[in-house]
Amino acid sequence: MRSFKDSLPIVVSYFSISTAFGMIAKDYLGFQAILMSALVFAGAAQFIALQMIANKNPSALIVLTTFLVNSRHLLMSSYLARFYRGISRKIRAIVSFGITDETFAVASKRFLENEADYKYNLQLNFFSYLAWVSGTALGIFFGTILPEDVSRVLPFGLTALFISILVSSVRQKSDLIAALTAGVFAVFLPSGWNIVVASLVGCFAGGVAERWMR
Amino acid sequence: MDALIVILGMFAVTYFSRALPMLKDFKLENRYIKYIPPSIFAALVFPDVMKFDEKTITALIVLLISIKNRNLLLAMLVGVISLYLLQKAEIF
Repeated sequence: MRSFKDSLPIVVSYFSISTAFGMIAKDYLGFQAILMSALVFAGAAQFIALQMIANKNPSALIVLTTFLVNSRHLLMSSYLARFYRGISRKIRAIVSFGITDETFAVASKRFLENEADYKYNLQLNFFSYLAWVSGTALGIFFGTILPEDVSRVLPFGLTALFISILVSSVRQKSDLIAALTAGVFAVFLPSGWNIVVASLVGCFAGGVAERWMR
Repeated sequence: MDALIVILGMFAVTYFSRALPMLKDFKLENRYIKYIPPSIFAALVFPDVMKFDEKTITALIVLLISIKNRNLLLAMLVGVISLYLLQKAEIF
């Protein structure tokens, strides 16, 4: 099956990253970590939520931050919508649940090279989803057998992951300006709203820098 | 339960962003939105590593590794192992 073959790189990376998620999430969420993976299905946002739960941020702030992080799906969904004209509303509702950075990248590439095929997209999303949820469950199990001094440093895996994503998200000078601005604001603003406010200031700085450098 | 509310809220806002353009005729202009990833991840990282302790050193190691290699798991592994070793060494 073509969709299965194309999903393999996603499946492997989702499975291993969600295993790491489960290991860290176990201490904060227990088995609800599986529920989070099953309903939210968004890696970055889930790791951010863990960090914010660990720092005892209020629920509303975690949800708002999730919205900011995942608002990029609006762009991907806007793009995919053109391939779904004439497809039933039910199918569109199901396919859109499985839009992630990775499934979007693979599906949109496929739709440009071949005819758009919603079954392909549904299957691709499904395999990726399965890997994400099952990896989380495995991670919770691993988390229970880890020695205490190892599991104590495990949350730093979040920061390391964020650094790695940060590095790959900086592709041009304006990205760097956005990142540095947001970072500095996050340090000096009082904790609580600092992540949301600093991110918004960073976005603004990036947009302004882009206009200036043109 | 608080965690359940967080999870359901996260589900609602995430599905909203995924489904809205597919279900309604909605187009988004992307001048600022594309700066969300660099901004939000910097905002998350900086406060955690700017206290000049073993986490600062670890973050620098992870930063160098991440520039050379984009593998997320490698970054997590290097981060956790370096911090573990630095804390065992009790330099700080």
